[in-house]
Amino acid sequence: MPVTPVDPAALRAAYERQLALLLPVVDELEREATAASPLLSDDWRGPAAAAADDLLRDLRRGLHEAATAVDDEVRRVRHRLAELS
Amino acid sequence: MSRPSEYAGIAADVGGPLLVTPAGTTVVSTDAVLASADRLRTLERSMHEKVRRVLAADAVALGWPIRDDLVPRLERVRARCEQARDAFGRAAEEYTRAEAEILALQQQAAGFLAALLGPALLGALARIILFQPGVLLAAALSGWAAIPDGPDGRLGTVRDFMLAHPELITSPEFARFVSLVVTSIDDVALGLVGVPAWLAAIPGVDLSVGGDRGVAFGAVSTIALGSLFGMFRETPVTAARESTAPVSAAPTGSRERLDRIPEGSPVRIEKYEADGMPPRYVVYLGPTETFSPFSDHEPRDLSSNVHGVAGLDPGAYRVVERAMADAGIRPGDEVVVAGFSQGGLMADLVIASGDWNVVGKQTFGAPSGNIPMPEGLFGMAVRNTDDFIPALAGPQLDHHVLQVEREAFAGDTPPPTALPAPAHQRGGYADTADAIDGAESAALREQNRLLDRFTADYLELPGGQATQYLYRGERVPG
Repeated sequence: MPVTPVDPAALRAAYERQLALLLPVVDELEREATAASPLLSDDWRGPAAAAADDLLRDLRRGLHEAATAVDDEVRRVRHRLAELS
Repeated sequence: MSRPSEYAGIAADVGGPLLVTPAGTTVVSTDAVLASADRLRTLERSMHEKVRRVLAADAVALGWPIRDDLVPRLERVRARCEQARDAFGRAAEEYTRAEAEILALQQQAAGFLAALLGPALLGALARIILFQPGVLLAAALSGWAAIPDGPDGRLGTVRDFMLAHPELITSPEFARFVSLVVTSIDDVALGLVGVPAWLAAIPGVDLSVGGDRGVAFGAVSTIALGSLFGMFRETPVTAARESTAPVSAAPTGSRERLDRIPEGSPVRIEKYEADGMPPRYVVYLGPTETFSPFSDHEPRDLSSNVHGVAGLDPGAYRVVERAMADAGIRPGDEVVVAGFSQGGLMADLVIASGDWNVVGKQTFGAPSGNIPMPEGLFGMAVRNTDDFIPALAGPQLDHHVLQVEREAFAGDTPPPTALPAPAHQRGGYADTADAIDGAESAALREQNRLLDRFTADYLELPGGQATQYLYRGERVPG
């Protein structure tokens, strides 16, 4: 089958659009991963205190891992963008 | 904000957490739990928005195919937030259900005992009065003589003892006890007419008015009994305007509203005007002035309290009505009412009357839980859980307005001894009002904001101005 040539300018615009969408996601995830706990102090005691600690740990880990994953994707898009130059 | 002098030496923050019951629900949460749930909800929305962005990036024509695991990763974080928020909700529901079950059991037990023992005790008392009055007199005199005679007499000794031991009447347990007593008076009456105690203890078998668990009946019985001795007598009243003055600024926050509730004059009305707008009013109502059960010149007395809880037409309420009319408040004008103690009771009577267009309220320590409120009001009812005065109207009847509760003296610090019932004093409510102003939950902040905006909005408009009227009421002894 014949391969249709792709306009490099259109590709550049597509990658830049993807970066514009993904970069704020990385920034926000990194900020949320290191932000203060969403749980207000309420003298958590016993099982509630353990559950609060678990939640906080899960959230920070999940946010950090998501930030890393999206950041990896941003790097790949940037790499493709650099290849066009 | 400064603290009243009687609270000198008491650390500012000795109160417990704010307990919040949003309007339209009976589920009690702490402000901190509600605020935590708010933050988790915000995080959920944030994850949802990120999912939308990642999907949009993946859908860009000619774009790099986005790896498949990003959306599930974000969804897992969102789901964890939702799961925790649900757990908070379930915990609050279970706490509320457990509390309600305990209260129901206590009410049934109290009703049973009242119906079983009340008639017997009253009968014994009546027999002694009729057939052996000397024995009763001797017992009373012996008891009176047993009280040490201090510098202010034996009554002074009793007063000093109560002041020195505020812990006896300053606890959530005592407030609960008071509530159980006032909701059991009707069970005594049922027992007197022969209803078996087991039947009187069944929920719904009572002499309630509008589901108030017999609170109004108890107050009417108190009035009837007191009237035999000339107590709790209602009289005509007058209301006279004392002063008129401009208001420089609208109140901001619950503490400032509490501080505007008058102590000397019973009624303070603020009129807010702006060009082209109908006037708005805030009616501030002060607390009880005298606890004498014998009506004199002061309408803010015990008679008004008992008649108010009974749902009758207390003198203090008629003073408020006259003052509102004199201030020019028309039936359609928007009004917010704010009151402390008896003032809160009168505020709720103004709302319940349906004669005025009350759109919001803020009451502190009001014995008015048995008064049904209409739906759609903004604002809040504030009670200290270790204050027994609100318990005189029984448990909270409806939840059409946000309820805020807090134990005023929750720590190991003993309550102050300068004034009686410290959890009912302004100082106790000033601390709670400060805690409300520092609250983090959207449920509480929004109601505080609505109360603030009701007055501040007009002052920010062209021609915005406010005027204050102070009124004094008088009983006209008949």
